[in-house]
Amino acid sequence: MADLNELIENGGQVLTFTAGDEHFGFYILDVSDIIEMPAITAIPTAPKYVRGLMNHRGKAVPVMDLRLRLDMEEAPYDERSCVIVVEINTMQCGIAVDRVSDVETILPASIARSPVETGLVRGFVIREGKPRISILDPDVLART
Amino acid sequence: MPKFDESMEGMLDTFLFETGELLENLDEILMRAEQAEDISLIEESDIAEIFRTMHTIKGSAAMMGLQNMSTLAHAMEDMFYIIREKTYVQTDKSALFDLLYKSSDALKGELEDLTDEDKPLTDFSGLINDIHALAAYFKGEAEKSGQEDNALPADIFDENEPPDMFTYKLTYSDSCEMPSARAIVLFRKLGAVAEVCRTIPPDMDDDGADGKIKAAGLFIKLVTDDRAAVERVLAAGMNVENFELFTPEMLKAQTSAAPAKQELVIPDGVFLPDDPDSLLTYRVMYSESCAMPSARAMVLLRKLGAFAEVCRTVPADLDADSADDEIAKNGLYIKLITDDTNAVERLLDSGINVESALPVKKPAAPPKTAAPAPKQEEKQEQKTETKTEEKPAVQKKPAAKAPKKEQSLLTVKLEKLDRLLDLVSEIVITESAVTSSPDLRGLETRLDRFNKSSRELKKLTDELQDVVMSLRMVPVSTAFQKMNRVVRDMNNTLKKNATLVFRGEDTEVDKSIVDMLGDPLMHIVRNAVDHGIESPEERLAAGKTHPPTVTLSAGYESNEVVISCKDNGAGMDAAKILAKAKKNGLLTKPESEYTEKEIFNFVVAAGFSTNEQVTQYSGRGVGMDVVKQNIEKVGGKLIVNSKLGKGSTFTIRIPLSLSILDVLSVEVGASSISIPASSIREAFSCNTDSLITDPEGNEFVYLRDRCYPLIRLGDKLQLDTDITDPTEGICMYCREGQYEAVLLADRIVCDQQVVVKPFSPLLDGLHLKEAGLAGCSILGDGSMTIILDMLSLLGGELGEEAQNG
Repeated sequence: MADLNELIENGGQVLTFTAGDEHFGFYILDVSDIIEMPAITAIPTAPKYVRGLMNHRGKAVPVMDLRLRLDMEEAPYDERSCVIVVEINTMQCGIAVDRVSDVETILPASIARSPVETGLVRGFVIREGKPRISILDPDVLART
Repeated sequence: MPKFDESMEGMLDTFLFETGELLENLDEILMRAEQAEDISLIEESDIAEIFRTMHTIKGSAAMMGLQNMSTLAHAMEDMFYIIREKTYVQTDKSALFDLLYKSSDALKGELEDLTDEDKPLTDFSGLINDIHALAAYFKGEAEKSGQEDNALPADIFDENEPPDMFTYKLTYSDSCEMPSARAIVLFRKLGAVAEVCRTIPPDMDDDGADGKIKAAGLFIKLVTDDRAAVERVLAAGMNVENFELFTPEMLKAQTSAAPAKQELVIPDGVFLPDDPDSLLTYRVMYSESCAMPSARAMVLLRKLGAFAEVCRTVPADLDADSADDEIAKNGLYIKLITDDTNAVERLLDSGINVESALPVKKPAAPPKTAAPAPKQEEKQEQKTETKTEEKPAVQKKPAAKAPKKEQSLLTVKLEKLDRLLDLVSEIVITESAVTSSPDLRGLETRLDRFNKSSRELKKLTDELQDVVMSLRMVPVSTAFQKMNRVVRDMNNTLKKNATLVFRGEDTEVDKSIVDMLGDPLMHIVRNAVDHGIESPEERLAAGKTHPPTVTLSAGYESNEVVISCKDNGAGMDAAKILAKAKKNGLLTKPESEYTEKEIFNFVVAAGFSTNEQVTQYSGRGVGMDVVKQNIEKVGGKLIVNSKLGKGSTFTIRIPLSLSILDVLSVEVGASSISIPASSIREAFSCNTDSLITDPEGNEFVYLRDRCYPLIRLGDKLQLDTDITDPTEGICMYCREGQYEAVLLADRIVCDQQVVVKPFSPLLDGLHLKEAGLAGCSILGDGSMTIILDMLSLLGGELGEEAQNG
């Protein structure tokens, strides 16, 4: 797993995506794949934000819904919804998002570290004239 | 303190693995060798194998810097050198094998402790001394003292020592048990008249000190003003047989005595049967300080050309790297024809660095030369072998055999193999996803060629899967062989003379099963010998004429590996077991309802031992419970059967592949749920009559005179389903362990075999196992099914506790 601190200190490439009206980002080194919405097998008794399991290259990878994970309003998936597969210590997890926007190179000057060290959001990208991007920590996001 | 050099850390895994294998192998050979009536009858190939094994262990331990293991292996190697060369005069087979087993155990123990940094390296000197003592006994005492006298410590005289330092050599009488203790007393007394600087051996507390003193004597280095007083003290010392002032000249005299003895050794090839009588043989010895005698020899030979015709030399090739060593050891033999022997001798004597040059006579009986020659060579081999550890054994035959054996086996990391297995199962699944893709169904065109190719592909992928699966398969004999040792040790202590027989030991099972089997098998075999087999007297009284036998057999039955351990001993008394079970409060139903099979299964319950006495091997009632748990962990079963007076059989049944599970897949709403087939007893449609709801709302199903709780999978697993009326769905009476219930699902889909994949560790926080979910599986069409964990599903919280406890 890539070290998020590195990104926040030195800047780097960020995969940006949206859920609801908000913009989020993963450090590009955390991302192993982006796929369109797969068939998902529900896991009985699991909380709602855990959508279930998908067959990702022969592996049963859990999928979480970013909206529900962040306590946002649920929305049906459309053709632009997709799953970002992130890698956490060699384990994989799919994160369902509304749409993937871009890969942007972020300069260290425009990143502000979040004071909450172990929170979901590790830092913010704040640039003039552009929407704010919250950099997510996949480890905290994927662990139930 | 780390036990190894950092650079060696990487080798540790390989070292542990290889040495472990070698030791296992060694045990096997030892068992076989022990069958021989006498040491002289042991198969030569076995001795060679043991010898080679010890040599390899010695070498690799030395490479890892594990001096203790290396020395112990070296001692064992020495022992087998005596046996191989048959240089012993007397033998003691049982002592030998006891010692060998002890050493092999010690090495195994050390291997296990190696990775534990807290444990220091074990000191094997006691064991090593035992081996040396036995080796000496084998060779006969005389040779022992003769040989060890030569082992004079070389460091008696230090170049830097002051000239007024005296060295005394003390010899203690043979009857003195602990010369080292006497020596300590002596040093204290000497302290009054002199200053003792150093002793050889240096450490009197060392275990080996006594041996060294007895063999080479005790050397005391001291500085004194009053030699007379010192000598008085020494003379008065207890058990001191003799003392003398030891000087460097004496040391030289003693060490040079050894090469002097070697003069008789004539290397092979010096005298050939067809040498003409006129051929003279000279041996030229070079002084030790001569660095390259081969170069000197070449100059000498050139000069000799003036007076004589040099026919050949031994060593023949003076350019060879080994020539220097050979000349230094044996001298240079020159065969020449000359008319002027005086001139030749003069020339030889005047050669640079030449210490002596003597004519050598052909041995009196020429035909004999060929015969003793190899023997002499072997003697030299022994020298090189014992002196230089780095040189591989000069044993030609096995050395040539060894690489052949290694090439047919390849050691692969298990992780790599598992990765390969994963990939292959992915390919198999993808293959079926491609060939049965729903897109193909809508196609108008004929797919003949596609179908033909996809059949071909399927055949290949199936074969690939078989091959990869077989990679992990090993014969159960590896687990069986270890039992030989168990039975042998027990025979020694319990005197039951049980024989162990193998059947179907070449049955191949998954490596993980073989690894798992080790412990349970050991417990079962121990039990069979300790409890099952009667003492010889009891057998005689019972009129049993067959030798006491424990039979281990292995084989396949449907999709299971069946391993059983059968003894022809006393068997178990069902009534006695039932009584004991009653006493222990293990009965859950009336006594009369228990079948024989159920009764025998009490034997494997925790804390259950019918044996009144706790012996060294069994009787505490813990073992069999552990056995059962271990086997159940891998999805296996343990079945006990017995006939009083005839013997007992313990049967282990394990599914062939650990990860493949037979399931019954059902649907609940839109979800596919799979129930392990092993826990489903019966599937049926229930009618309204058999449904009972109690006032608290609990639902039961009445089935054949009994009531079982009804678990609606939809409710239990929080799945939406339209089928709420149990009569519309399908009921399954399930049983796992002590828990029973009827599960309700919408409909049965199929029964199939699935590969269980545990849930991602990321989901650990959801406590899915506790909720009754074991994992998931990807089916041939790429879809997934959830597999239930029956124990926690049926037992609820109770199930959890039972599992943790």
